[in-house]
Amino acid sequence: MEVKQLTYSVGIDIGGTFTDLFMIDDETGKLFVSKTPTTPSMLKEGVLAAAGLAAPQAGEKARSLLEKASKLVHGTTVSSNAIFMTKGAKVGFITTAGFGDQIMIMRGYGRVAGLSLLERRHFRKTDKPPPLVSRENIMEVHERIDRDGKVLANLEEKEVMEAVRRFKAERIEAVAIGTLWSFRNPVNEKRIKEIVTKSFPGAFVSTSHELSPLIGEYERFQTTVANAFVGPLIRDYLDELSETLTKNGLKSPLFILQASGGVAPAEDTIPVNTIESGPAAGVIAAKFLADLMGIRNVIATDVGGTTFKVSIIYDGAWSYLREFIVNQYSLRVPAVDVSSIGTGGGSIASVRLGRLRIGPESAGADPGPACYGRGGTKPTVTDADVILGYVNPDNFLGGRIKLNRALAEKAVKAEVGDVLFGGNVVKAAAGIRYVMDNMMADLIRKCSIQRGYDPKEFVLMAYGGAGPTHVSGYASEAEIREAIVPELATVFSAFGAVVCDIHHSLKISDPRPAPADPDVVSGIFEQTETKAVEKLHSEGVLDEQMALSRWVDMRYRRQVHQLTIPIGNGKLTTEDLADLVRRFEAQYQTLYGKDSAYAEAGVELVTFGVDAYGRTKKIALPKYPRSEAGQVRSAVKGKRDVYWMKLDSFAPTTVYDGTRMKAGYEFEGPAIVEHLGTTIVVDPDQRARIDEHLNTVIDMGVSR
Amino acid sequence: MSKIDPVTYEIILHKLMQVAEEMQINYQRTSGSSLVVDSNDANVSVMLPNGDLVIVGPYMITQGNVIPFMVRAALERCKDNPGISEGDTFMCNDPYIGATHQADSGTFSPVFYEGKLRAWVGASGHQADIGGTDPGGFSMQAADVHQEGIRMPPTKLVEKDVLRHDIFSWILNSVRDPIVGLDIKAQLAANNVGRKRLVALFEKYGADLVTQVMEESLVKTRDEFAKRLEELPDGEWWGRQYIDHDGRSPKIYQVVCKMTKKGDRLSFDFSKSSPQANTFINCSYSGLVAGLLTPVYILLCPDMVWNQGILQQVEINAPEGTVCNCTYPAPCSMATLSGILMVALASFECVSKMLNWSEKRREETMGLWMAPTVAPLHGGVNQHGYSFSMAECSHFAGGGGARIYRDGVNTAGFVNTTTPNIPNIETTEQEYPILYFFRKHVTDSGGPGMYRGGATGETCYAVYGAPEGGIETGWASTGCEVPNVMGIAGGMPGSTVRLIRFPKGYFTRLLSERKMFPSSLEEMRAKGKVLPQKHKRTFFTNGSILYHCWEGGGGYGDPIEREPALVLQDVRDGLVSPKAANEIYGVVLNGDRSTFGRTETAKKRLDIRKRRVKTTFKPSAVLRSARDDLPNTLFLEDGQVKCPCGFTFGSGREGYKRRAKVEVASLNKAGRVRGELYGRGRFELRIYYCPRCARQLEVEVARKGDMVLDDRIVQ
Repeated sequence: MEVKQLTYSVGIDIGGTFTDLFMIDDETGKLFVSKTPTTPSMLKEGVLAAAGLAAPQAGEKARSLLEKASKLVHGTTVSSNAIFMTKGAKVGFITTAGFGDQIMIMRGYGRVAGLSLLERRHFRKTDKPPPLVSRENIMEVHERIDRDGKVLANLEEKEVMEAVRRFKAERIEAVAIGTLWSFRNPVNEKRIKEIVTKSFPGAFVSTSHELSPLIGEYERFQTTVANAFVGPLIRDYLDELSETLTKNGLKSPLFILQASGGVAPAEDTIPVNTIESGPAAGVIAAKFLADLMGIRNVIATDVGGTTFKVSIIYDGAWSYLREFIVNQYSLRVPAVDVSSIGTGGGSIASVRLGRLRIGPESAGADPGPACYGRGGTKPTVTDADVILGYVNPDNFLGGRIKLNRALAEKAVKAEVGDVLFGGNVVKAAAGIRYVMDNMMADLIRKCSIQRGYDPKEFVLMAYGGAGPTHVSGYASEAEIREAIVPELATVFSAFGAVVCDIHHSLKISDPRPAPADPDVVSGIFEQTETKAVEKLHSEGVLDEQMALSRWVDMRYRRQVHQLTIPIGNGKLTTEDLADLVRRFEAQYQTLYGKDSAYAEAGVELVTFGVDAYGRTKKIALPKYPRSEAGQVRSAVKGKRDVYWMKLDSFAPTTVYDGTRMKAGYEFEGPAIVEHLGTTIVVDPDQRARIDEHLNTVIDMGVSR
Repeated sequence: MSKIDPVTYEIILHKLMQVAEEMQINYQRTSGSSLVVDSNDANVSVMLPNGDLVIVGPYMITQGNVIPFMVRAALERCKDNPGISEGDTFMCNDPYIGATHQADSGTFSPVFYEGKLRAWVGASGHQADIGGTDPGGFSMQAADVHQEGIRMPPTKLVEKDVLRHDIFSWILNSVRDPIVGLDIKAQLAANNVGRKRLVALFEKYGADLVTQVMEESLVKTRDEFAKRLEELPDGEWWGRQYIDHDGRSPKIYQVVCKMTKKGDRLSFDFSKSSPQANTFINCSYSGLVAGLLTPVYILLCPDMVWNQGILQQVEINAPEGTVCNCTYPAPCSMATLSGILMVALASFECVSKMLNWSEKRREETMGLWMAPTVAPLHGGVNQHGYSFSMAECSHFAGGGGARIYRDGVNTAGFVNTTTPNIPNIETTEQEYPILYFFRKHVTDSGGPGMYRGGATGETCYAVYGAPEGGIETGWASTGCEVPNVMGIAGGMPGSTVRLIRFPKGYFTRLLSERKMFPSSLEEMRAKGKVLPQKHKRTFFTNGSILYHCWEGGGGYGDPIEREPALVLQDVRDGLVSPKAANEIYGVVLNGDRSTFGRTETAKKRLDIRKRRVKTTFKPSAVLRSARDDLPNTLFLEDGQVKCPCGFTFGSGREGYKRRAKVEVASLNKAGRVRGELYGRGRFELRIYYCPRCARQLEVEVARKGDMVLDDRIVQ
């Protein structure tokens, strides 16, 4: 009789502060998690250490665990860190003569890209980010292609050779190549690449037409340069990691998480696509849970130490960003649409010009909030949470950090209480929490309402360290009816990594006015799909696991903003394209009001895209038997005084031990549930229940 | 009025600001005017029932500031006939009522709640066309405002939520580019969302409370602004700007601003400005206010809510009939590129100079920022067969002003927008019959200084593939003969505008050779013709080539005190020429420009100092005072003006210039691209030095014989 081999699906996400592991026994659905502090100088070792820490839980050793891994998915911040700290490869850039400054000019907006309105208003404090390639290493070569793809001036090949000579002398590590209109006719970029590859072996080479064949040279070039900037780092890191893991027993392929919310095999990973992949994995995890629970519309929220992130899943699908701004650089890579503001547990509260303000400055990990006792004197949101009794000073991060309430009070009193609240430290702390929750609710409303959605139609998921602690406030302010704190809230990205599909997003700009020729459009899609299928095949994806979906970015002529409209597969007809235009106009009017459409301007099809998925085997989360709702009493840990805004006072509040919560338990607010890495807060007039996957589902008590 | 608790106040205010931001996002997304979508030449605002500004949106500062004027006019004129009701939207573009110029038209809607007028929301933006004699809204030859296109007083465009097709089609009938229709609808989309969100706020928090927050935000801003003014030195500062061409001839007009600050009041006096022109360079009163508020906002109030509260501390004296407060029916379609910007820059100079005397807020001082004083305008039929009119907007990325501790940002944007944006080359080529040769930074364009002004840009393109054989082209610019973007504290002005046309035959030759398209002005192998500042539209056939550059940012401090390593890097980056490095910055580079000679540089800089004061120079005086708390600029101590070298200029009440050494020099003393192609010898630089250490203290740009800008600092 054949003995079924025991296997695990493993996700390891290395974040800035913690390395998280999520693992599931493929057969029994048993879950294992671990959380360890990240050591930035020892990332590869961190992956192994995480495996080592989780292995005993499953009765394994690190080696046997890796040997039994059916797949290992890894999320890394190596590229994000490189971009945020502008520490990456030394890049040389070859571009069309006359346009070498485009990447320095940053279309003017680079000075304020991604900044809030208030930050933009302080002209003096704004700067462009340091360039990812120094001006001296931008080499211009004469060549010109026009808007129709016609070569107007031939490539001066000797100038390419000169550029390579300089790059070698300057010890350039990565070469980016970007010329005007290359997405329409890549002949010159291809030839430049040929010359560079031949005469400069060993250099990492990246071309704009391969990476981002989209109209708009600044963003296309910036993406290409960013890819070169992080390329050698990511390449070396992944090579070494693969080697280390293989040496330690890993037999299955290593997959890497991408900002698109998909994974790619390590050797197939486009470096720039890994930037900010962690937040995307959280959204995928939210979507996975939602599917499991039969929920179609989800607002996924992540409260970290410095930022609050929001994503919308509508009718079972998330949307992609057309442009991705990281450290003021605009990148055109496939990325899950995640909006963020600079408010998190570590955000500093201050009074400026008589106004109570939260963030965007953050106390970070060092010195951290005042209550950490590491010398921080500025009050943070976490300090307010401690003062108000939400966070147990002895249970922060599973008791790893002991918090000092007196220091929190001192900071809040000095910086906020004395200035605005007549010395009342509780009122000040409550004010900090309330303003913070409202700012987060405003972002939720902005993300949903601006897309034409009513937040009332959504269920909210809250994860990240401080999400469960604040969800009762921000979700009800946003008029959400029900919020879910996943059992896996503190390792959500690692969990998401395991459930991600292989994903490639292929697209090409080819602007053409409607009505477009159905044969031409079909041709564009078929060509793109052939490429996608080849890629998936080469990664071992079987035909039955493949899914392809097509879309078109459309606009009224001369607009810049575009809407993404899906279109069916196969041979397209005139009627299909007419229907596409109708659906564009319908969505436009939904978003901007009934009189806003203006067909007289003409409709244009700008970019054609194909999302290609290799569906991975779906894991099955364990289901737990239901216990009596009233048995929740057995999980009570004690009582403590907690301040409740709605009561305007402290009230004795039941504290539950999260680890003792069982499926089926129900309880009423006010209540506190202490888990290992986080604390769930349930307000008065809210109710909560534990579902069969041990997620905490909070009824917000919002009137219908 | 009872005081609202600070938490509620903050929460509702945040939501009001988000209303404005969302309005602007809707506007941008649905507009089709390249000036709006690619260049952000638009803004929105939220106002009280009486039109008082509460929140101004994220983009063009000047545009957001004029909507209150339009609302007040509607309240006066439309109340009884045609009436102001729920669901109405008005449109207005009359510069004598509120618009900056006719091309910037505004639409605005009253917001009613439970039958009561509670607020107004509005959007203003640059239309692709507005009729008149020339495409794009700038009517070069107009003799009066009637020739500058439609001029709408507050006009009811939407009545009880129904778009009035008679008005809408009348507007479309009067303009050249049908995209105006899309743009008007975009403004409606912005106002609709503003109304909806405000009503939701009224519902949630109660209309009275929201109104109270709006009113209190004005009071708070007024009080904070008053307090800030209290902290700044009292005195009188002068700023001056020249308009070097009026559309018909290179006649000079000046906008002179005297700013007086006393206690918590700030007053601006423009009475020494030139009489109004009989051409389109003037600006009306609303434009003047919008212009002078720009530097007040960004230099004095960057951390406050920008609203009507600020104006309550400000007095304005601008006699009617001047170039910066023209009277009907003077033409003013170019106000946004001349009158208004000159007001903004002249007042910027005053405010920035005042800050530089303040120990507490000196950090906020900046050299002047570039203002968009150039606009090549094109119209005709594009390669797709559509008629169009557009402005080439690369110049919306100009030089930022130097700070007292860091260089100005290169191609940073411009003074009157918080969110600059220029189109991609490819996007413009895709939509319009144009082919670019280059778009790049201009060497030596940033105003020299201890900290350099931001570099600006230049571009060059050919008319390419226009189906009618060419396109209509006109242009309007200021600042070709004389720089507008001044330096502060001895920093020098940034570069000037240039317009050059190259013959069509050159392009034909390039196309037939199929190689080496020129990638810089130096590579152009044809003789160019320098174009006048302003020109009425003419037909540019396919192959005609137009070059232009715009203005660089103003510097801060004495250029010979700039860190030599920074000068070296600038040379390597192509931002400063070796010649300027040597002559202006006094940095001696070695042959391959990989390094500089430290001793040679020190000696060179000493020589420059000697030449400045033309006396035997005592090196000891050059040594910086042992006190390291001193700024790199003149400062005030017990009412006395002092140089860090120890020299005392006497009481600030008498100004300091009479005791400074002055050198009169040509504009090119600040570098190349300082008006030499347009030079008529009418302007000079007046450079003031400390008589003891020869520090460069201030650089004035003046028409020969014009008054000295003699600031007085009281303490």
